[in-house]
Amino acid sequence: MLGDQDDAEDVLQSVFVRAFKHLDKCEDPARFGAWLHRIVVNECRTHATRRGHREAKMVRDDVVMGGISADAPESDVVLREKIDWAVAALPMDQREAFLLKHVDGLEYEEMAAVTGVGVSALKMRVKRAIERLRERLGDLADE
Amino acid sequence: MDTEEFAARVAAPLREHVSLRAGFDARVMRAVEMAARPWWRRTHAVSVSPLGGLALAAGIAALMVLSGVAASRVSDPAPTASTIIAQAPDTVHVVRFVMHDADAQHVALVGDFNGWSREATPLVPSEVDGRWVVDVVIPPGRHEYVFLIDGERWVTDPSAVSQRDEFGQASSVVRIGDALRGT
Repeated sequence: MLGDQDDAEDVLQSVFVRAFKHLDKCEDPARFGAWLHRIVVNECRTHATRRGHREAKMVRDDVVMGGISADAPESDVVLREKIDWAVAALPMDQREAFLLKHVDGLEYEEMAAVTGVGVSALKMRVKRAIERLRERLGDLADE
Repeated sequence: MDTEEFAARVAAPLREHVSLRAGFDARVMRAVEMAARPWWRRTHAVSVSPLGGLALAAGIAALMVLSGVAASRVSDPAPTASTIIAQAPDTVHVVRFVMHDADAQHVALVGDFNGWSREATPLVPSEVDGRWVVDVVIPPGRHEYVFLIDGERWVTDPSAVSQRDEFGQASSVVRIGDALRGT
């Protein structure tokens, strides 16, 4: 979501602290995961907003390289870099919707609960995200 | 390749496990523990720009020089409060905490270096009326502290850098370590 491991770890730490401080507000323990997910999304948004004035980050960083096995074929490395670059280039709202849908595997209703955004708007964001990804990763789509 | 297939292919590598850096768990647990403390027992992380860091280091260095002068003239009227830092060659850092309060009956130093204990580090009255002093060995790093006057009044060190937490509560900050060496 953030494209930077340092940022991601900072946000993750904030998430755990916030969750701990507000644990009493988790009214349904059976939905703890969704509750925590909502905190993650909010913290990511807050962090991204704060970071908004900083220069665009290169995606080729520790997150990218850390997620790739040293033994991975070069083509896999290049593919992963392309994907990370394309995802990072998405507008924040589209990136968030795409990741929640296709990486976290949430249903649209769950996404709506986590983000506070309507289902139809989320569907549109995911659709536009995929269109943009296709524009940037056309080669990938054609492979 | 249809839309769903394309999306799945893009998403697949993003689901791969990313290892957190060593020490992350401990860092989070410290943060959670800190969040559970009352404000006066918390430590805080402060982000400063490189330029700001240099300015802060210069400020502390200047404080040390001034404090050294003050220490060499102990019979002089004491400043309201000061932090005097000495460093032995083997990197043992001794910090003198000074608080001036003519009405105080008891002054304690409460900081992260003594586990935020209200009793562990009492200051002792000096020869100068109203001046309370204690020398403390402190490990290198950034430390936060406040003075507790008569067991009920929390006071920051007027001669040190202060900061406020998210609830507006203040604490003082002292940095010990490489940045101060040779000063």
